Amino acid sequence: MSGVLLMGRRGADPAGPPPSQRFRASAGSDSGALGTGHARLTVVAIMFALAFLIVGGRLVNLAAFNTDHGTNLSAGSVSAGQSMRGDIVDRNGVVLASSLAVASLYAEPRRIADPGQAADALMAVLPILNFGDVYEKLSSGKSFVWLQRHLTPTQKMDVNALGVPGLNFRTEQRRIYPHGALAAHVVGYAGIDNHGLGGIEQYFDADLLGDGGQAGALALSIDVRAQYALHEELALAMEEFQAIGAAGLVLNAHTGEVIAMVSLPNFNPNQIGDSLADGRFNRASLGVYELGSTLKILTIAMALEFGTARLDSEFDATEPLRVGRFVIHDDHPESRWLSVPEIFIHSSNIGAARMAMEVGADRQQEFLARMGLMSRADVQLPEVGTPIVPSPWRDSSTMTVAFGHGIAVSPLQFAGAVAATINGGWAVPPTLIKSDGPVEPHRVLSAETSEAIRRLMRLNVLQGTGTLAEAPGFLVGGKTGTAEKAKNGGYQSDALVSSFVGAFPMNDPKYVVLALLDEPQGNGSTMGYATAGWTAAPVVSRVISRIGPLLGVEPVDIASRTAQQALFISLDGRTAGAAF
Amino acid sequence: MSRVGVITAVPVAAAAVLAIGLYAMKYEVARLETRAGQLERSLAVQVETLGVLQSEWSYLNRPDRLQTLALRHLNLVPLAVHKIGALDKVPLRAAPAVAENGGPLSQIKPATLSSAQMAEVGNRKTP
Repeated sequence: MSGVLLMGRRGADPAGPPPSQRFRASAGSDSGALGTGHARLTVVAIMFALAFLIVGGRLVNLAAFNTDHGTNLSAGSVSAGQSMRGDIVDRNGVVLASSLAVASLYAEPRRIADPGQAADALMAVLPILNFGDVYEKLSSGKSFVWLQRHLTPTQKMDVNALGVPGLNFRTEQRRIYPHGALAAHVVGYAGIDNHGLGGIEQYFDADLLGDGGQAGALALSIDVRAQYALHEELALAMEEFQAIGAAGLVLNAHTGEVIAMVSLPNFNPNQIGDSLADGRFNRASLGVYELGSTLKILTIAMALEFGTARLDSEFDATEPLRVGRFVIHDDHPESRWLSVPEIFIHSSNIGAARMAMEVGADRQQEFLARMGLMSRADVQLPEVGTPIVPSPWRDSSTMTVAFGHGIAVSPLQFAGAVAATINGGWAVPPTLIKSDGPVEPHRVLSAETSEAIRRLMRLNVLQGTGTLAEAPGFLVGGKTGTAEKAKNGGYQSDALVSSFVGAFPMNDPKYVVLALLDEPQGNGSTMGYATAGWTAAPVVSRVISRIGPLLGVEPVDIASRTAQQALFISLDGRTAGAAF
Repeated sequence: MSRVGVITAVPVAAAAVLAIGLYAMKYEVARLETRAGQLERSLAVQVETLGVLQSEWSYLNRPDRLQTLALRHLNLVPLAVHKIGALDKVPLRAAPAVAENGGPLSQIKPATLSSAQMAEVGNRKTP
């Protein structure tokens, strides 16, 4: 402002130049100097007027029209202060993983006058530290050393109260898992440097680190309540039968959403350092198992689908089946011709092998691939097991695969295959993220085959090997599978994998439930049997009784005529009002 | 006033007005910035507190803890399947019972729902 005034005055009254010069100039031509001065003054005035116009215009512009600039600024600074790793929640919004800001203690040894005294003082408030360690760090002369990460607020206050110069805090994030071990294998865990090292935490690491706080929490398909029911029942069964491990799944049969996934033993992600490798191993998705007779569900679906068998077809199970140097036996030999429903409920290996042979090795492989059992499942976890399939695929492979031996798949991908078999034939790749199902659903089975399998699975719970899986009101259907574990090129009869895969309600399946026990031992209550019908089937029954009401499945009156008719199938393969 | 006087006085007046205006605006902006900073810090604290409380809430709602507490303090049992039913299975009282002796019960009107109410109840999902 004042500059303008001064210059203006200097122009109007030419007193600026030194007197001697002015005198000489006026001596030459007075009017010429005046004219020059006037012109200069006008130019300067115009320039200043222009400058003021621009400044004024900009001011008006800022004040009146450009309001979002300011709000942008403030929003930006909020997000900068809140770049926390994103939360992980279950399908109902229950927090499974969250980040807290905590203080971490570091020292600047160069600024520490007396390391011994400082270390002494620290030991008094942080007894977990080791004096020797701390002394060494403090006397190292470095400019920065961590002393203790993630202090509690009380500890921080205590250290502050010491008043030792050279000790400082840095605010860091600490990952906490309020539900501890409950969903540990799904959620995974993050390391001390805030990077995911397992499970969802690792698979979605970039997204959680990114603008997780802005985009909202990551919602999983898991339902904590169902997860707890499955977890508790599996843990009880594992204890009761002294199994070395257990795995379980609850899958939405129409969307493929994993409602619950448990692998035992598990670990506490809040104290990952104390966990064992066996606890961190995810038996449900990373472990691959020869599942045994549960695979007969797929063998029969395959034979019906390719038209090599009908529900009323019969197969010769009079004698053990000899193939090369193998002999295929039935565990409970009926030693007669069996219909398809009988093969299923008596779990006849011979019958299943014969059915598969009629389909043929090529079509069998094609079918299993279609059901997602020949390759690694595509699910949002880093821990996903690759199936072990026979190579080369001989006739003997075709036969053993028909009853679930010689092929090892993960429980997760198998549950997905069963879901597709009973939901009307739609492929449902398992997913751990809350969703409405596959974007482009495609059919892998005909609706008729799917309906036939539903009837067979229900029949098996009513009069077959799966009777202990019944949960009143929920029309459970399913199949048992007991496989001997392979070791040193042979099978061991005392190390079993007992599993049961079921679904409910069988007239319109909504959920698939799978329970697997690793090396269960029989006990008095099972008359010494460790087979699936005695060990895994009751788990499925109890889980379904607990989660059915939680998940809003309406119980069906078991005596209702429509429910019975919808699921009726006779032992010789006749159905009431069915396509077969 | 002479021409020079006018030429001087107008810019001086304008400059004075602008100076006062700018001064006022500058302080207003500084005040608002302080306020924005306060709000942002407060917001950050609130967001952090909210996160802590949500984690705490989730921790307190661990199913095993709730189960233990319910067993200890509540006189409740798990929902049995036979207790879940559809509304149309519930028999509503039919015609008003005619008490033979015209006792006090005959004065009570039977509970009935209008058809609109029935439809509304029927739409509710079974828990």
